[in-house]
Amino acid sequence: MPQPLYLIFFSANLAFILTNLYGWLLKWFYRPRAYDEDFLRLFPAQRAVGWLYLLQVLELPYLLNIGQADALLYVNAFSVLVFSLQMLVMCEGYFFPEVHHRLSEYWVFLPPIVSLFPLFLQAFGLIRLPEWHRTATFIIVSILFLWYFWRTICMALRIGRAVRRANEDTYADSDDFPTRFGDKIQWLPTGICVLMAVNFFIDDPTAKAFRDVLFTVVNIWFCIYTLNPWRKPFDITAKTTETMSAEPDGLSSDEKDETTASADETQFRLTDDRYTELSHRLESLLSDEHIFTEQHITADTLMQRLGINANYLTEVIQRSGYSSFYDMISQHRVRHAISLIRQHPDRRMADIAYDCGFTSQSSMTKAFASQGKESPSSYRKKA
Amino acid sequence: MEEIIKTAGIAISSVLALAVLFVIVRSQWTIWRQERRQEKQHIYNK
Repeated sequence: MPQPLYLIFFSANLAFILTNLYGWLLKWFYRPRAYDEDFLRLFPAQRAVGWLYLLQVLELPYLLNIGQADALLYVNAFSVLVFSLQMLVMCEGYFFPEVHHRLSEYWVFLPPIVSLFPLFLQAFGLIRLPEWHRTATFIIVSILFLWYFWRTICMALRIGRAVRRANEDTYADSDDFPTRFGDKIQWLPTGICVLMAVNFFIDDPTAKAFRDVLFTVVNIWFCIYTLNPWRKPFDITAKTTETMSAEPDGLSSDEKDETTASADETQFRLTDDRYTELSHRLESLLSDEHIFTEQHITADTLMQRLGINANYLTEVIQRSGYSSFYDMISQHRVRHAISLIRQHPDRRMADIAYDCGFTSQSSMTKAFASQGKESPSSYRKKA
Repeated sequence: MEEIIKTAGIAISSVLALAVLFVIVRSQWTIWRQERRQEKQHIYNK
């Protein structure tokens, strides 16, 4: 390999490893002053992210043998398998910290460890594998990649459902849903998994160098982000009363965990009398006061009016037959909108939307769709 | 055999990468649009 090219590839890989080591030190040992006492509670995945950084030290065989085919094969296989898995562990710890995992669920790490260990030894020149090992490695890594890719898709969908669920428990209008950290990074593990796979199959030192440069830049950005002493924690409200879809493989949710019990299995905390009283008051707020016509209404408003906390409110809403706060308010708004459309077919749709409490006409249309109704204009035509 | 697996792997993973990129761009576009709408609402309410 020409000397300049060797230097470029070496520098790229060295920068990648060093920024990873720095990231590891930050994640494990840096505490922003703003969150000193509660840091581990607010940012639960710090150890997992730290491990992801620290594990990249295992790229050392390639740094010492830049451009060599065996070392390249090892380091690319390592990237595909370990990166994907560790990102799944990270997401699990960050978005679902209340779910506890048994040690046995980490068996998913065994296939990569078993398949990478001989390659690791060969990269260091300690053993010499037979000729067919390259073909076998490509086959094994391809199978494992497809499996991990599928798991990253499941994780992304799970994060999306959990974020939506948290939003529906608090807000009555999809326009009000805050764009949280989860929405922004739910597809990141999947994206990184396929990028690593593309790099693996290209099997070229130049592609590896590009990958190193790209992730060095990402690491530098992430270190700067971590060093911000005022960064906000991701706040998924832990009202995990929906049943997370059980995954057949390891790192799955523990279905017996109380925090992930389905709505049907939730232990009711309110006595029947208390529930009856609260549901009558809630019905009065909805049917008589039309509280749902208030724009930007949130669950906090109902909690204050009823004088109960979030858990009791959720129980009252679900025992009354609604799936969430968003569902309850949407149902009433849609019914009210339909009656207004029938009574005043000539009124502008936007005015009807605002009178019903929607923040926009499109928000009203979305609510109709979410309730399985026809569009508002269809009701107008019928009227 | 190795070359066949590599070629097939590049093809499949590239298609998957493009699909994921499409999903990411679309979801980020939706988030950006929602944030703009919320900003306008906030300014209007002021």
